[in-house]
Parts: sequence; structure tokens; C-alpha cells
Amino acid sequence: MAGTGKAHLRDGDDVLLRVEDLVVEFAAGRNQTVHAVSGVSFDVLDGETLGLVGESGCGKSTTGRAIMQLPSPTSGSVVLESTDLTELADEDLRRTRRQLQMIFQDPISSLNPRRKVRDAVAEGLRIWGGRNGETAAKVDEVLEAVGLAPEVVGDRRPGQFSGGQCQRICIARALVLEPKVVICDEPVSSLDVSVQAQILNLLEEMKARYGLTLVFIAHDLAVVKNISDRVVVMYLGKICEVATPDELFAHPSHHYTRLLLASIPKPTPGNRQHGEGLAGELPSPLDPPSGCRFRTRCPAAQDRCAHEEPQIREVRPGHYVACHFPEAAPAL
Amino acid sequence: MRPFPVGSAGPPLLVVENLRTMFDTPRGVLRAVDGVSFTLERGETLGIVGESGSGKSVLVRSIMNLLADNAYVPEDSEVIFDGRDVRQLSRPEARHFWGTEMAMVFQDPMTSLNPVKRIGAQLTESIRYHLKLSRNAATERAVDLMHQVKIPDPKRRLDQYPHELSGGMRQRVTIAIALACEPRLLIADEPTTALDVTVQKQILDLLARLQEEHDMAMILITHDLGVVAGRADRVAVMYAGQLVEVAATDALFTQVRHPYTEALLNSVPKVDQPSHTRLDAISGRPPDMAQLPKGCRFAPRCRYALADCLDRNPEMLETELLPHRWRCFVPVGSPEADTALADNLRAGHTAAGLDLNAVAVS
Repeated sequence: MAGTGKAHLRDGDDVLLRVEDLVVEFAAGRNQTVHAVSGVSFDVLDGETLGLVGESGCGKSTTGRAIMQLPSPTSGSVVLESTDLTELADEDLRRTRRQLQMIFQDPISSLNPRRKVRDAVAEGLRIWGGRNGETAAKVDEVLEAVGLAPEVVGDRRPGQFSGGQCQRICIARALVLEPKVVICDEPVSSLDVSVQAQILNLLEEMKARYGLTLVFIAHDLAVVKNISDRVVVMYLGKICEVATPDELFAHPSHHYTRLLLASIPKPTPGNRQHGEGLAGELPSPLDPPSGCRFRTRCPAAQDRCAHEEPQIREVRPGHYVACHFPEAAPAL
Repeated sequence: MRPFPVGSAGPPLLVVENLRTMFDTPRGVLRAVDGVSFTLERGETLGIVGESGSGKSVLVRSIMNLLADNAYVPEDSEVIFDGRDVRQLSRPEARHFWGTEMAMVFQDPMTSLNPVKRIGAQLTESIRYHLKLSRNAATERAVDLMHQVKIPDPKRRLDQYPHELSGGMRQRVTIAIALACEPRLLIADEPTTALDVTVQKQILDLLARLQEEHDMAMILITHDLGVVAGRADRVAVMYAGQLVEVAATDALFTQVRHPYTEALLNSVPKVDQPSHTRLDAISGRPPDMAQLPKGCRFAPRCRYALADCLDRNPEMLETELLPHRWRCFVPVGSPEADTALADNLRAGHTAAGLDLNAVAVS
């Protein structure tokens, strides 16, 4: 997979965030380079939820952080409305970044244990010079919105809450500045299944209430399918496939996506399929394979895959794949 | 003793009877496992499903007799493995029991392997101890085990340290160590939770194949209903230290009886649902294990809860011959449950005060 190209980018006034040719590399000593993200492009429409899915080491979290400029990407552009974040000076970036907020995987460690909930949520507003009365009212409003009673929780500290409640506090803290885009990096993967459903439902409600645009990063395909309007599948720093969730799950075309979907254990009886699985190990991002990065594990790999990197192209309306030999999907 | 599942021959491999494990804590006595009974046949796979804090890990550690010093197990708790009372084993006896009769695979392969010892040394340690093999013979056996768990280039891997291996490879090593002396029962405590979904499939396929080859029984602990659906013969659902439903896997998914099992199944997003399907979250949180309610432990979060459920904790319902058991006064699918739910919906709340109209809040 793993190809480059921009066939899947959309034109139009409602594109809120546009990432083009994003490359993130880290120095690894001994003159080696980790190729974490290598030429990824995608866009997110206003009010859309974009799911970024893939396994450990595919670069999905690095992509999410590069959007926030944490750190800035090695090359490529991140355009929010009409501002390219990669070209902004520090102070301008600080001001613009207010419109982007992030929610992390481990809600307990992302809150300061010594701070009261009310102060943790209010901090962003204080920094931006909110007046005390307005700040307090706004904090109460978002706490209420995420399902916590401000008068009960406001003066407590994070240690008194469960993981699910801490994630609600983190969501409140992200929402208090009224961001345009919220980047959620594995927001439910450390939570129990019953709590996971509460948080997913809450994110959908908050999205409707505050008109948010979400970039939702996760490894759990069922979760990504549930929450996303469009899904990007990544492998080893590249994009494999882009489609709406229903289309992607009904007609996966990329061989990696197919193997990924076949690996999900489904909570239905009699799913004892001992069918195809993904063989081998993830190649090192220090020295990724030439051509298509998935070719070393791909059941359909041919000579061409080693020499020529596949470009992203449309195989069905709104369904894009970076593969020379995609699995044929039935014609519409 | 429990009725044996239909078609079983001879006594079960493992009988757990009224097992209770308590911990003394500053907040009071914490009943982590509170009266668990089940049996396991030779070669059978039992899945144990539950959320964090439900006591599933303490349960298997109690079965292995691997508990911390502040744990207390009352005298009437029984763990009988192949006719022997595990709790009565002396330490020297236990040392030859672990590894050769029962072995365990833990969730996090990084912390269950010694970071400063080579893979080969860790793998041959138990082989040399239990099977009294020479160094060379043990190394040969180690290479053979590495082949069985499909680790490529095993000779080179034996000289490596755990940090030089990927997470999936490390978990293969811990499985190889657990299988080294061909135990008759393998306890796998969330063996794939830390792994990616494609690696999870590789590891679960591997466990299934090895289990068949060695005719080994397995207790598979997981929070993932999808994993048990495909891998377990029977499933036990655990909530707040107790089993609430035990059934053959197919029966559990097609004729669910306990409201908690039903709620758990409904709260998981499924790949065959259309996107943006609203999930039925379970309201509230599990009870504080140091201050348990006197009634049913799930009643405060249950949509079917009646006044009776708050007063008394239901006993596990024993059904003759049928291996499907549950602990509930108003089991899902019964006329009582339909009436209870209809009444609760009309009132807008359950007997425990759970608001059925409001959005689920933790």
C-alpha cells in the first residue's frame, strides 16, 4: 500500500482541514532515520468525522500530532481554513492553535492529579484572558454538557474519578475553548467496553451540540466504523485506502484492509473462522520496503510492487485505493 | 458437584467450588472473588469475560495459588485439579505443579519476561528444572518450541534479549515458556490485549492449534466478547466478583439470560452495524468491592431491576443437565423480565432509581 497521491482530496468551500504531502521523520542515531509518516494527504470537511485507523507503528498518532504541530512535520502542509499552520510564526501559531484541541488515550495521566477539576477545565480560558465570572459559567456549562454535575465534581481532584469520568473531564477541557477541530487519539482504547460506549455516544452528542469536526485516531475498526464519516486506513506511514465506513467495510479493496477486517473477532456465535491472517512482521520504519510498503506481506504482490509505488486512485465512487492490483469490488 | 456437560467422560480436570478470595485493605475487606464455582473438562476452553475490577485475574491467580500475602481464602473454598486439592500443596509440591500441570500466560509480555536475561535462558530454565535435561538437550527442546510457536530463525532469537523482539514475538516466547513442560491446563490472562488485531489473530490461532496438538485445557480471560465467541467452548461472565452467567458459547450469544451479559453485548460497536449506530451504553459503574450492596450487584445499573433485586442477591440458578446457569430473578427472555421492563419503562425508572429516559452518565 501504501502509496502517495491526492486523487482522494476534495475541492469545495466546506474543506476545513487539508493535509498535503505530510512527512514526519525522526533522527534515530547512527545516521538512521525513522520514516514515521511518508507523504500522507487527506482533508476533513466542516462537521465531518475522519477516522484514521491502522496498527501500531502505522503513523496514525504521529499524523494527529503533526496536525497540531507537536512537533511540526518535516515537510508538507497543514491548512486549517486558509492558514497553513506549518508556515506560522510561533505567536501566530499559538493563537491559531486555539481552534485545535486534542484528547488522549490515557485520561488519568493526561490530567494533573493535584489540580481541581474546575481549574483543569478553566485553564485554557484563563490563558486566553477570560474574565472570572464568564469563565466559571462556561466551565459549568461544559461540565454539565459532558454529563458531570459541576457543583459535585468541580472541587474534586482527578484521583477521585474513574477512567471514564476522567475522559469526560478531558473532553470538557478540550471543548471549553470552542475549538473547530478536535483530534481524538485513541480516546476509548483504555476504557472498559461499557464505558467506551458512553464516551462514543458523548462524542457524537458534543459534535452535534458544538458543531465540531473530529479527527478520530484508533486501532479498533468497529469503533472507527461506528463514529466516522470517512475512514483512512494507514500502514507503515502511508495511506492504503480511503472510503466511507459502510463502503470500506462492505467492499474492502486493499489487501491490507481485507486482512485487517478478517482479523477482527466478531461477537457473534460460530465465528470460528481459521481463515487467512496477516503473516510476518511489520518491517522496520528505519528501512521501509521499496515501492509499495505492504508488498513484503501482501498475498498479491508482484514484481511491479517492488519498483513502483502505487498511486491513490478511485476504484468506485468515493472509494480510493493505493494498490496496483486491488481486489476487484463488484460494479455498482 | 455441578452436573457435567453432556457428552463428557470421567470427572472434570478442574473443579472450583465456592471459591472466595478477600484482601485486607485500609478501606475494609475487599471481596475480589466471592463464591465462584465451575468445572473444566479435559481439552476444553472456558472463556471468562468481565470488565476491569470484576475479579477475573484474582480468580485465576487463586486457582494457581499465586496470591499476595494480604489475600485470604476461607477453608471451604475448593480448587480440585485432577483429584488433587491445589490449596493443600506444599511449596515443593507446588513448584512441580506449576509449569507441568498448570501454566499461565500473562497480559503484558514485556513485564512477564526478564529484561536482562536472554530468551534462551528464560526458555530453558523450566525445561531443565522440571524435565532434568542437559544444557544441550534443553536448548534443542527450546528450538523445537520456538518452531512450534512459529518464531522464525529460532537459533538466533535464543541469544537475543526481550527488548529486541516485537510485542507479538515476545508473547510467542511467553507461550513457548508456558508450554515447555506440556501442562494439562493453560491459563491465558488477556494474552492478546496488548497486541494489534492482526497479531491477536496469529496468537489465538497459535493457541488453538497447540491446544489441539497437546489436548490441553485452557482458561481464556478476556474483556473482548469477540475473542470468546470464536475461541471458547463455554463462557463464564463475571461481574463484581461473582459469575453471573455460564453457558455454552453459542447458547450465551443466542439465548442470553443475564441482563449484564445482554447489556455488555449491546454496548460493543460491531463491524456489521451501519456507521453512527447509537450504542446502548451501560449507565453507572460497578459497585465498590469493599462496600457491596446487599441485593443483586448489577441491580443499580440494570434496566429490569425490581424491588426484590435490591433486597436479595439471587443465587446461581442450577438447571439439571443443561449447562446454562445464571444468577438473576428476572432473566432476559422470561415473561417476568418483559413485565419488569415494561413496568420500569412506564415508570421512567427502575426500582433502583435508574432513569431509563436519560442519557447514560458514568
